[in-house]
Amino acid sequence: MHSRFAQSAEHAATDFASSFALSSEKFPELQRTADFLMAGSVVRANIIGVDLFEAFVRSFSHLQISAHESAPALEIRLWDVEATGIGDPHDVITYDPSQTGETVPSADGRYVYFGRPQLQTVLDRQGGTITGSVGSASRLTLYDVGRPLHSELLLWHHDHDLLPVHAGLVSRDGEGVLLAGPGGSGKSTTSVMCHLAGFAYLADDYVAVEWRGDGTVHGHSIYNSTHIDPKHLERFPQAITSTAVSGTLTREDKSLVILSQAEAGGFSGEARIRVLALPRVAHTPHTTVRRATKVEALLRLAPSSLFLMPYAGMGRTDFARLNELVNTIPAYWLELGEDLEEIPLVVDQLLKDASVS
Amino acid sequence: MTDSAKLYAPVRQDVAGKVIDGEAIIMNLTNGAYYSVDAVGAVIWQWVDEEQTVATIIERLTTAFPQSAAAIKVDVNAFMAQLLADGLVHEGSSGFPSPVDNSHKVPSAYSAPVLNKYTEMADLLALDPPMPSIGQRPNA
Repeated sequence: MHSRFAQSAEHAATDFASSFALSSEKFPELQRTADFLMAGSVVRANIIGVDLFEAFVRSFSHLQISAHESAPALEIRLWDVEATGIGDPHDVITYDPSQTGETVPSADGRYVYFGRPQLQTVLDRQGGTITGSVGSASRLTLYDVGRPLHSELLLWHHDHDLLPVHAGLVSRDGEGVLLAGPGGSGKSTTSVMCHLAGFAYLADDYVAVEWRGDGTVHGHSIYNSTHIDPKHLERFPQAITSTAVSGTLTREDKSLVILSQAEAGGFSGEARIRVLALPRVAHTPHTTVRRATKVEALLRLAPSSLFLMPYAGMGRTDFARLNELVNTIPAYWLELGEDLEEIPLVVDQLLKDASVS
Repeated sequence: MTDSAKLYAPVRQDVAGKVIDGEAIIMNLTNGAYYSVDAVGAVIWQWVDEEQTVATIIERLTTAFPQSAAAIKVDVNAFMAQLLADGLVHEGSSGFPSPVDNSHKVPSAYSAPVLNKYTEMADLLALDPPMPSIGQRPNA
C-alpha cells in the first residue's frame, strides 16, 4: 500500500482534523460520544457514524464510565466515509485485503500515521488524539472490531510509561494472574474459562503493565474481546458460542467473541499482578502446575511482547522491563489438560498460593 | 578464525541481552531472532557485554579449566564468529561497556558454548515491513 501520506504524517493530521470537523458540523445527528477509563486515564470516543460507533466501542464497553466533564487524556475522533459522504481526503481507502498496512511517523515523532486498507488514522502523541476515517462500518474486519485501533492504543500506552505485553490477565478481588505465551499456547482458552468460572476478565492477548512507586506491578485491560479457533468453539458453553462471529477473509481464521455481549462473567479494568502463569497445551487428562525458572518465563514473554512495539529504538528498555517483571513475579508452567473446567480451579489455587507467599 | 587480541562488543542499538541464573537470553531487536546460551556460553556473553578482549576471555577460562585449554581457544573463537555472523556483536568497543559483574561465576565443569537460536518471531516479522524509529513522545 503506498500512501500519499508517506511524505508527511503532519499533513495527514491536519487534513483528517479538518475532515472530522466538517463531518461533525454537517452530521450532528450521526455523532456519538462515550468515555472510558483506560489505565487510569479518561479516553473519549467521538465518532460520526452510528454503526461505526457501535462497532468500535463494543470491545471497550467494560471500561465505559459516565460522561466526564474534564478534557480526556486521549480523544479518538473517527468518521464513517460511507455514512457521511465526507471523503477520505487523499483516496487511500481501498478495501483490498491483500494490501499490507503502513506506519509513517513525522520527522519529530509527534504524529504517526497508521494506514490500513479500510481504516486510517493519525496519532498525535503530544496532543493526545487519534483522528481518522473508516471507509464503511460494514466493511471493518473482525480484527478491527475486536481490537480497534490496536497499534495506536498500544503506542499510546507505551508513551504513558505502560508496557504493552502479549499476555492474558484474569483476577479475583483485584489480584491478577498474568498468562504469558505465544499464539496457540492456551492464553485465550485459560482466560475465557476463568471468566466463565467467576474470575474478572481483563485480557486474553494484550495487557498494559504498570510499575508503581510502591514496588507493585499492575496490569490494565484494553479489550474485552477474544478470538477463538472455530475448531475449539464447541468446547465452550452456549453463552460464548452463540455470540461468536466468523470472518469472511482468508486470514480471519478465528471467530470473534465480544465477551461483554456474551454476558457470561465479570470484568475489571485493572489488577495487581501476583503470579505469572505460562500456559501450554499438555494433551493430558488434567491441568497441572510446576514452577518455572525466570529464564523460561522471559523466553515465554519477551519475544512476542517486544515486537508489539516494533519501532526501532524501543526494544532495549522494554526488554529490561520484562526482565524486571520476571524477577519480581513468580512464574509457573500451567500444563493445560483436556478437562477445560479444571483450569480455573488450578488457577485459583495458584493465585491463593502466590498471595500468601 | 578470529584474532585472539580482538575485542567484540554487542551491537548496542540492535541487541538486548541479559544473564539470568547462569543463562544468557539475547534478543535481536531488528529481526526478531532470539537466542539462549547457558553455562560457559552465558559467562562468555557476560564478558562480551563487559567488552573484555577475546584473549582475556580465553585466559580466564583456561585458568578455570586448564585441562581444556586447547578446546577453549577453538571454541571461544568459533563462538565469537557465530555471534558476529548473526549480527549480535561487532568488532571493537561500543564505547558503552556494561559494568563488570562478578556475580556470574564460571561453571564447575567446562562445556563448549552452544548458541541456541529461535526464529519463529523472525519468520513472522519477515512478513511485515520494517518499522520506523519514532523516538520518545514529544513533551506535551
